[in-house]
Amino acid sequence: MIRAGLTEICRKPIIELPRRDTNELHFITEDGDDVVKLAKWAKEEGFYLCTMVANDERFLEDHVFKLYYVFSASDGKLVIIEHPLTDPKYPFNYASISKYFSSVIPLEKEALDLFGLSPIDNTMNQGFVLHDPYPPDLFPLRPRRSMPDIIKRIEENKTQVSKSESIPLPEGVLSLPVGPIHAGIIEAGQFRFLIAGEIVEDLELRLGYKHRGIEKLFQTQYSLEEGWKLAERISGDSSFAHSMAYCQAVESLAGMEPGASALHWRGLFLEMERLHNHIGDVAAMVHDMAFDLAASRIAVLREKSMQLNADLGGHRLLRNINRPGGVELTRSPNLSEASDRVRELTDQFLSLGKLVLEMPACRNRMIMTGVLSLEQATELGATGLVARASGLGKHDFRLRHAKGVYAARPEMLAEINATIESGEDGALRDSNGSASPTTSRRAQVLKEELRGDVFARLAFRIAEVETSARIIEILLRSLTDFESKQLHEVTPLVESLRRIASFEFGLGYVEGWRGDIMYWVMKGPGNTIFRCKVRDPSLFNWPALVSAVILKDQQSLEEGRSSLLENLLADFPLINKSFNLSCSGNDL
Amino acid sequence: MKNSRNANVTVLRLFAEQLAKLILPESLYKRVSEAMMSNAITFERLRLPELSAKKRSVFIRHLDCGSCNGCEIELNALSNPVYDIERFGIKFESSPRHADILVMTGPFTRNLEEAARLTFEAMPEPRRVIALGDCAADGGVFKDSYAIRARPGEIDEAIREKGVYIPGCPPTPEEILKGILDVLAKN
Repeated sequence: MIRAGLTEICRKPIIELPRRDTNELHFITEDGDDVVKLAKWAKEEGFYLCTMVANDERFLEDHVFKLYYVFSASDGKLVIIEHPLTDPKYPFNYASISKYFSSVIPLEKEALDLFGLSPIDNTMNQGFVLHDPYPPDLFPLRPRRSMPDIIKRIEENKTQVSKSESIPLPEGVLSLPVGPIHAGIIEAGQFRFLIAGEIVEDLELRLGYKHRGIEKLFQTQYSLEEGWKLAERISGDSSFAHSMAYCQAVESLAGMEPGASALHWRGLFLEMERLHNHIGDVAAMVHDMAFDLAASRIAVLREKSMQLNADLGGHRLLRNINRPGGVELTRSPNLSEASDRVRELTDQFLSLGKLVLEMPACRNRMIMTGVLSLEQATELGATGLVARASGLGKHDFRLRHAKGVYAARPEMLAEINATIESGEDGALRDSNGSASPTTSRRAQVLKEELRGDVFARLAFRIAEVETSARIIEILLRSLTDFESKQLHEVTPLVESLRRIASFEFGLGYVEGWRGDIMYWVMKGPGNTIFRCKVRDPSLFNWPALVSAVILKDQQSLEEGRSSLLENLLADFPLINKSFNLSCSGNDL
Repeated sequence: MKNSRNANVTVLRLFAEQLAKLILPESLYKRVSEAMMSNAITFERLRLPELSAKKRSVFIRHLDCGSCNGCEIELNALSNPVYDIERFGIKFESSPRHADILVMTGPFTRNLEEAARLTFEAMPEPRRVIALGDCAADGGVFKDSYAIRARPGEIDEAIREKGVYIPGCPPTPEEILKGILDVLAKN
């Protein structure tokens, strides 16, 4: 279907390259117009843009810069469009697909700072991740620039051009910059609110403060076998999901899959990570609604789940477990006891969650606050829980691109599907499982009008905790059944990596608790990494947060619903918590 | 209607528990709460008698210098009822102007240099600084990156003379708590 579609649209013949993984389709087109046409078609077909990878291949056989677009098709295929910038007139420019996929914009800004590539009709400025201390022509990711060289150039930099723009304000509008250093214990990023009275008229984000040059570190300091160490420190709350995506990318390069017990362990820890983060987020949101009794109780449950992480995997944030080729555990955990602990803490959590969802004061605070409509979520390419709470229920890589243990165990997918189908009312079911007339009516209201608000995101978090707990129980049971709970199941990859030609690339993708994480890893000579592109879900969800805070929906304005959908400045902390995005994953 | 009555009953129950905390003798409440939370941090493990002899409280300001947010998770955990850092007189403060101790996380990125310096300068003397986590000690896994720079001399000096390094990636809440108490012991 996809092949026929692509050949039909393109002006020039499109070349297909074989991929080892049959779920991936790889096409090459040199024509910029064709890429834009492809994007238009992909949008109509309901594709989701996973990532855009810029790569400097000027010293490889093609002698040009290249862009790789990765799309997720709804039928479970990943479509990779390779676009070499062969036009001699524009060696550093490309035709942008942002008209159809606005989620590509942060990736384009990154490519401008790190490679010096920009769209042909460029209107963007530098400064997304490289702020004022960096000279404008640094482009650190070009492979010929060595680390000492880059550092020398930054330290000699004397240009005093400010990269941040100041925008003229309309009358009566006040600009309120908040950050990059915040009052709470949170990450560094700047929010600039434009407020008229109490209402937030506009919100500008300035991120990149935490840029640590991670993609360059992959290129220069880490080998393919060692890269997981860096990957799991990209965003601490998603440590396991990041290292898992990295390991999958390397395994896909080597053309192998780890053994069954390793896959089960990975699935288990991925869900454990989802569990402790969702519980922690609910605690933070309830705290922001000043319901501190419940918030403290839920925070204790988060602590318990982190202690369980430490007892099972040896680390409270589940680090140091994944290796390319499998998992390595330091101790033999007590699985049946773990199962009891999970059940106990989930039961307590669900009863507290039900209390919060039914509490009139909390409902009043959450419902219709920070609405991200289905249209906006689709338009902005939002991902993960945020997208699901806005009505994109099937947007879950565990379902769309089931891999590893998820592909092997259909009963787990059934659990995930059940959460989506029961929708937001899943968490509102009565204790005996049947929906009472009031709850089902509430669910009806929820489905029709209230999708994508803070309430929906909270309800979805609670429902996903329940799902994760069920999956964890399934996995713990199967792990107990394994003949020997192999703790050191790592298949050596050195031999198979040696056989792979240099400059091949592999994809790794995982549905972490925040959304899908995608790694694109290209092998260099030996076991070096030529390029590792990391795409954290936060990158796509930051624009969605802005859209949820400010009212841009013309239709609601006309219908006079605007006063319901407008957000006050004091709503922002709650909306922000309901998204809980990562700055470090965004800034890299 | 029924649901909201249930909700009220639960709130009352939670409230009663908090009340118990206030009115029960400490030794009894301690036993109850320890039974409630296994692995809870006991007062003895943290040398509380030493600390309470000093009868001082400290205000702490957190400063993110490019961490992976792992250290932030553990810092936040200190406020949960299991660790309950405020019972030691230690409070997280929202302004550097009211802070006695600055807790720095992350490897010190170039983009945050100015903001970090301003935060440090806004603190009243004497400025005590804690370098939290492996990245804050030597850059950790990000050590050789172009985006990381050496901390300004005065901040480094404040760590060496009046502060501590707390190693770990990230350190556990208990280790952080011990580190903070070390700073108090040092001053």
